[in-house]
Amino acid sequence: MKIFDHHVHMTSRTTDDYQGMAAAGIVAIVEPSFWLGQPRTHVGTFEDYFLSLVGWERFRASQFGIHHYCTIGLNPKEANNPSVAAGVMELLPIYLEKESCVAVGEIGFDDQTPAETRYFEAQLELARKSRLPVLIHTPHRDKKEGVRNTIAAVKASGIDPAWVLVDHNNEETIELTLDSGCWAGHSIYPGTKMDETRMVALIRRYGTERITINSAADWGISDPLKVPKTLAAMRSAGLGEDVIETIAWRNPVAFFAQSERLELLNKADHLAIDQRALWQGNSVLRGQQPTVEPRR
Amino acid sequence: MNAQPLRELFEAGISEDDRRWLADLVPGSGSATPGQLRAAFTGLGRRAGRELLGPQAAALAAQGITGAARWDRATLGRVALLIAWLPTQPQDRQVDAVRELYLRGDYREQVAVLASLACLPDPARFVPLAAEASRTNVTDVFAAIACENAFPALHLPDLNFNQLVLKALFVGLDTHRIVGLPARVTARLHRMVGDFADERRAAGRSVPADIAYIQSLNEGSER
Repeated sequence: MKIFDHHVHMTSRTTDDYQGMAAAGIVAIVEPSFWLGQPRTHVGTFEDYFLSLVGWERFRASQFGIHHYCTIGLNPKEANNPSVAAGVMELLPIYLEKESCVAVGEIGFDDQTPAETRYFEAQLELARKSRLPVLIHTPHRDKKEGVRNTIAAVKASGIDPAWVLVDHNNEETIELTLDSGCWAGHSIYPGTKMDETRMVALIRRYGTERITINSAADWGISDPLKVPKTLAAMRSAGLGEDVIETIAWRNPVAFFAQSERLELLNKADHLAIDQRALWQGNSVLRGQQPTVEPRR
Repeated sequence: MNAQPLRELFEAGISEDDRRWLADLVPGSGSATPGQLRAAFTGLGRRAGRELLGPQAAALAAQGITGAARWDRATLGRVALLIAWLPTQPQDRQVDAVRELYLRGDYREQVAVLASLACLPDPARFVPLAAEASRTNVTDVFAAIACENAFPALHLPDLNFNQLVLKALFVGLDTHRIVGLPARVTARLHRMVGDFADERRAAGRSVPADIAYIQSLNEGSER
């Protein structure tokens, strides 16, 4: 089964993760731009980060047969930092043009401040102009109110809610999100956010329409195999293969294909792996036998 | 190099919508700002696509452009834009402008910058950029400078050229694809290639067949 993890921060992960993900059936990922755990002090470090998302990280993923896409945006936390926020906004129109950028994101609310609101609205407008979908982060604190405010901002922007995925939902927010016409993403996490069993219960109750799951794995305690693990939990719970495939593949593909930049539908299941380039003096392989697969 | 035929060749293959989009950003007269050029250069990736040039490459070869058989439509468009635009910029800004385009490009954009280098005015100015590109670990970008590209043999000093050849051996690229390699073989390159073969044998690994090819070439003089 082909799996698409539409929210995973691979820049923070190892090659072991890539190998495990490929072995578990993950053939495509979206890496949203986000914050790096500590505040950036220069606009230039944002630009280099965006460049790694469309450059080196994409190449690294390809070495494991995984299609890498990204979303570009000013994240909500750093929207509060006046020394970088305006400068990052100036970079966005160019980076949103990059061919592997499939959405504006992750944007939205963290502390729900006036600065966050202003930059959230400005980026919704950029998404409309660039004809790109939007991936929205919802806050950890005061979450339900954050989701309400998110949906109000989406409505006010005039953007079609079918082009918006509101992420990190839980039992308390899923109805708000689905009722708005937006897509409802769920991050399956060890400890916080959602877990596999609760996700199975949500799918039983709400079905699969406009519902997605992702690992949201990053530099914290998280697990890039949470999507395949949740799919396995769905199977154990007796959910049908059609339901599983919709969650694993069809839904995230349908959402991001609106960008017209996903090339997955016309290609073989995963990229042909050619690691020969990397068998010496390189940061991916360290003297192992390179894996080479025939081009498909 | 006259860029007009390149741009015409490119524009014949894109939609009316995309022609308008391009003309808005970068008029044929070439008076675009660096920001406009950058936006057009990036946006061509999605608009011009990945279809290889095929027979059109022969027309480019007739103009002395090597390697166009492996270019896709976006690369042709980007090369045409850059060749036309660069001479409109102040002389003392041109090297930095090309470097910016390279550094801020995704890897397909970087490929197009490298494919353009030999066609730009006063190409020797771009040696530092070509040397930097020769150190990349991204396979497609490295191949764009190393293979079917006239620039390295024409302009790179021995040190950089030899490193490029060694790296091509390391990553398994066919060294027959290095344009002008036979004329750049020196005693030093023979020694480096021989050492590499010894290292592989000592580690119990196979020796790339291309090493014999390079060793079979006669030495020229160092420069």
